[in-house]
Amino acid sequence: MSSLKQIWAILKKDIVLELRTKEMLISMFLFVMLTMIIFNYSFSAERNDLTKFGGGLLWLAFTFTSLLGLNRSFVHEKDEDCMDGLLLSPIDRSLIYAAKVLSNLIFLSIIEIIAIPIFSVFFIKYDYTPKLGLFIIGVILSNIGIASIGTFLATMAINTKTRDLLLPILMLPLIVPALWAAVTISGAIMGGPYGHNIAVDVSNALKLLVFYDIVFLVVPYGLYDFVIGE
Amino acid sequence: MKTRYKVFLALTIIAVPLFIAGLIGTFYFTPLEVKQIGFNQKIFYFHVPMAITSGVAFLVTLIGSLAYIVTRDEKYDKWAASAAEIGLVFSAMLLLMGILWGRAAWGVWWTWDPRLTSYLVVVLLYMGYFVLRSSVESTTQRARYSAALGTVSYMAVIFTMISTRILRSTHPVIFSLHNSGVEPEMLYTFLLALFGTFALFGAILVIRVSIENIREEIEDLKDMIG
Repeated sequence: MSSLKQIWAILKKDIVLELRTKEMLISMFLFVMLTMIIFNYSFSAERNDLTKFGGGLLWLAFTFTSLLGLNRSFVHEKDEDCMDGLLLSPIDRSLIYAAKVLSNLIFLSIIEIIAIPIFSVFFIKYDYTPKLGLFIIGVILSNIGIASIGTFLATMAINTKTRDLLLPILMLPLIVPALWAAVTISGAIMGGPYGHNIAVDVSNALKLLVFYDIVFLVVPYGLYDFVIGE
Repeated sequence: MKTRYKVFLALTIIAVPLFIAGLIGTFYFTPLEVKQIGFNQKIFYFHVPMAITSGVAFLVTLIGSLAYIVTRDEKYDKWAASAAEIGLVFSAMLLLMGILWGRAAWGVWWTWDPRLTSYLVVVLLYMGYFVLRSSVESTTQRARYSAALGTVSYMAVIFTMISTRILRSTHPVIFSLHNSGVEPEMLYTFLLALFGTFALFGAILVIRVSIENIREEIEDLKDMIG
């Protein structure tokens, strides 16, 4: 089997499992909706126009939602001893990582495709559709960063005594640069028309994200076999 | 006496006079800053050396982690973890000094200055490293996970520093290539403190690794007794 076929086999397994149970997507969706309801209470006086804080709030919701999904994606592998099955199968371990990153990326993106329009209707009063392309690029690049490092850390976290409790502690400080970039890009685009200074910030943030994604895809991909061990 | 203790003693003997000289220089020989924050500026002479040393400590962690990945020799794990521990303590002290400086210079206990923020992130990052270590029981698994996390953490530190450099910072830049308005007393005091801190780091690192070795020996002996 070629590498792509192997990745597809694991990815298909994850998607089929999710389509049958729907537990991950539904809980992630409920979580993101509940976060928005809390935003409404937190900013009760200005709840109809959170344009200024849009980027930060959006990524606050997505970061915690992604943690939920990342943990889930390994908890069921561990509980049913599926991870052992995966490791015993004649597949390069780095490819398991690649497939897991892809599946986490897909689930996170599905939630975002549903949540971003709802978030915009709820809180954003500025029509940012002319810049939608750039906005989507920013979101995709941020997702890649979160999924790549998140998948790597979730593999370790799930094999420790503290299990899923450990992931946020390890992951949140590591994704700070990516989050900074994500908030800068989304915030600038959602926050209204922007001048030269903000455009420079956005382009810097995009460059940082691209480098971040490359580093945190390549290094964990290279280290995955070592981390799994045995 | 083992070589390691000799190294420890030598480094301590170097560190103590350098540190005392640095302190004397700081309080008696360096000029008093008059324009902005006055006496509080003296924090600088130990603040910057600590910042550099914590950077070196985390670099040692990275090198130890990479060495473990390549060789699978657990002694490198001990070096990496010990360096991370010292780096963490130095970073926490650095953060504390930064808070004091901020209070004196800007009148607030905390400001979301990018560099203060980035060091807060670094402290949290390496605290996570130790949470991970304490939640793994098997020594080889702990060494493996720590090496992986030690490697990616250092990269995240670089990215955090880059992202803060892009942002506009209120943190003062004392030494720069274009501005040589530093008096010799300031430079010498700074260098004394810098080498003193380096020697201190080396001494603690050596003794910390020895403690880890002794702990391992005790564990082995316990296992033998049953």
